[in-house]
Amino acid sequence: MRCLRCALDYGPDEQFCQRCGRALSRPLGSKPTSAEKGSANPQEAQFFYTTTAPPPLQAAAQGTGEPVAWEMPRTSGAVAGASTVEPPRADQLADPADAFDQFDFPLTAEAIPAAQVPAYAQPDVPPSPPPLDLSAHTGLKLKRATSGLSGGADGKGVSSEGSAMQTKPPVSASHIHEDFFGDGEEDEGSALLPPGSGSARSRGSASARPGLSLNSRQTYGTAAPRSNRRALPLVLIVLVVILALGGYAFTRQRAYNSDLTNARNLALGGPSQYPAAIAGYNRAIADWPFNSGAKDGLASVLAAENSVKAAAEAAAQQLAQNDATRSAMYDAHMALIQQELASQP
Amino acid sequence: MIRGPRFAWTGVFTSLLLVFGCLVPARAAPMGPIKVANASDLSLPATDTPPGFTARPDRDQLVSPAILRSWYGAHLQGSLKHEGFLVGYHGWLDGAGTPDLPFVTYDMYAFGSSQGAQAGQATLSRLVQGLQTASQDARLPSNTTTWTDGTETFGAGNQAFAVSEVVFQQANVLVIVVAFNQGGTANAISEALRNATTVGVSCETFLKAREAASIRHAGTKSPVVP
Repeated sequence: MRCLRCALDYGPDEQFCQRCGRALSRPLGSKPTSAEKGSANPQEAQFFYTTTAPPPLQAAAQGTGEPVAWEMPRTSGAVAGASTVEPPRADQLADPADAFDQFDFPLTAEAIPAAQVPAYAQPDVPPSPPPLDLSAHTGLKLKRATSGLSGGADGKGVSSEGSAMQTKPPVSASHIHEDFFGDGEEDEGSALLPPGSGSARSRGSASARPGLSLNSRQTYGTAAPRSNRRALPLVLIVLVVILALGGYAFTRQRAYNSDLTNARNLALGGPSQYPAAIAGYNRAIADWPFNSGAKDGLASVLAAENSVKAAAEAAAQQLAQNDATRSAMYDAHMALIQQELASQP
Repeated sequence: MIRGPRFAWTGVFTSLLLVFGCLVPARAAPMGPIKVANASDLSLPATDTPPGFTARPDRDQLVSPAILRSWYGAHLQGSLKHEGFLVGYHGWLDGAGTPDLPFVTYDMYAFGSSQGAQAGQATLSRLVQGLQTASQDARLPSNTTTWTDGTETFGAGNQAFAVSEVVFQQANVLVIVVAFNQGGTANAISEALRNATTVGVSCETFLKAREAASIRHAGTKSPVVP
């Protein structure tokens, strides 16, 4: 086994670098050991940790149900907000969040007993191995580590970056074995590779995402900025919709005023213009929902038109009656003439 | 000596011829017959309709000998045909919209000659009811006769109405104007007489214009076309 960071070779049974704590990688071309083959079980693969070497658990703490005291170095990076993930016990895998609550982390360096501080973390010990810059590496490393937890009892993975809890789909064991680092993370690229040199599959998947969605790297940000970034397009869409509706309403209202004015002018033109005025009022009513003015004008014009029609009908009836009377007088006169003719010899 | 008297008689004869020649046009001055191509030529145009009256084309009627027979009987129709009746026109004018409902009818009958029209006037005058009046508008021809009657009634209630009739002849056209007014009062009769005179004057004016036009186009053709 070989530490890719420290370039140190270890025996085939070693799993972690004793200098930097990273998980050892199997040299290229070598076959995995029987123990590694057996770790294909996702229940075991979730215990691959790459950030730090898991400090040895105190024997008294195993299986007692008491909080486990981990010998964790507390550096400035940890105080600044970078958190670490501790391996839960087997009976705590059902709910990883509860596992974190059961741990008792001392928050200050003074609270850590000096006996529990690793040797390389002692103040008088020279920084060899160099202290981990958790603020710079914890995000990536912890993400890799928690990806191994995705095979939990509830089928959900837990990712911790800052204070946010993320869920990721489970990763198969075969996928883990194909990973170079053996940490179950493939599409995140390698820390030894320059940025942007990810696999073609990851680049393709990123380019195929919808326009409003965020890429995989952005999903690891904190919750508040992500909600803000998603709310901005929605706000823009709402503004555009509001502006469009406002413009439409303004246009309709202006058409309503124009039709109403035209109809009123036609109504003042006399009975001959009443039909056109009625048509104008109807157009105005159709233009704008708040059309009480147009309805009132329409009612007045209809009333005037009805009165005009009634007057015309009365005049027509009177004219017909006059015609009948005149015809009766003429017929009586002609009848008298014919009587005179009949009386003549 | 002998030539002298002979030239004198010749001169006298020539002078008589000249005088006769000058007098001949004066004797030909009387107006000729009014040319009537069809019955509609006797329709009173709108320009000659007196103010206050409205033409009723729906009540107008062309008068043919058959119509005359239906109105006056075969005997009277035969008499008018014998007198040269050609065609006629029956018009209707509504008066103002007053309660007495005034209206006027006019009949223009074209005859072959002025003598025929004069004979037709005498024939139809026998049918006129009422009293002949002496009052006559100066604008009407001298041969005009006027009648008034306030005793006629119409309708189921025997409502009285006044009738005034004006008959005159202009050239070869006989004109009969009858004015009606509801009510048998003196005012109704006077109103009817006034309306009949007004429409008669309009008809006389129209016929004079037609007569002048006929003279301008006078030729060898017959002035009246049946």
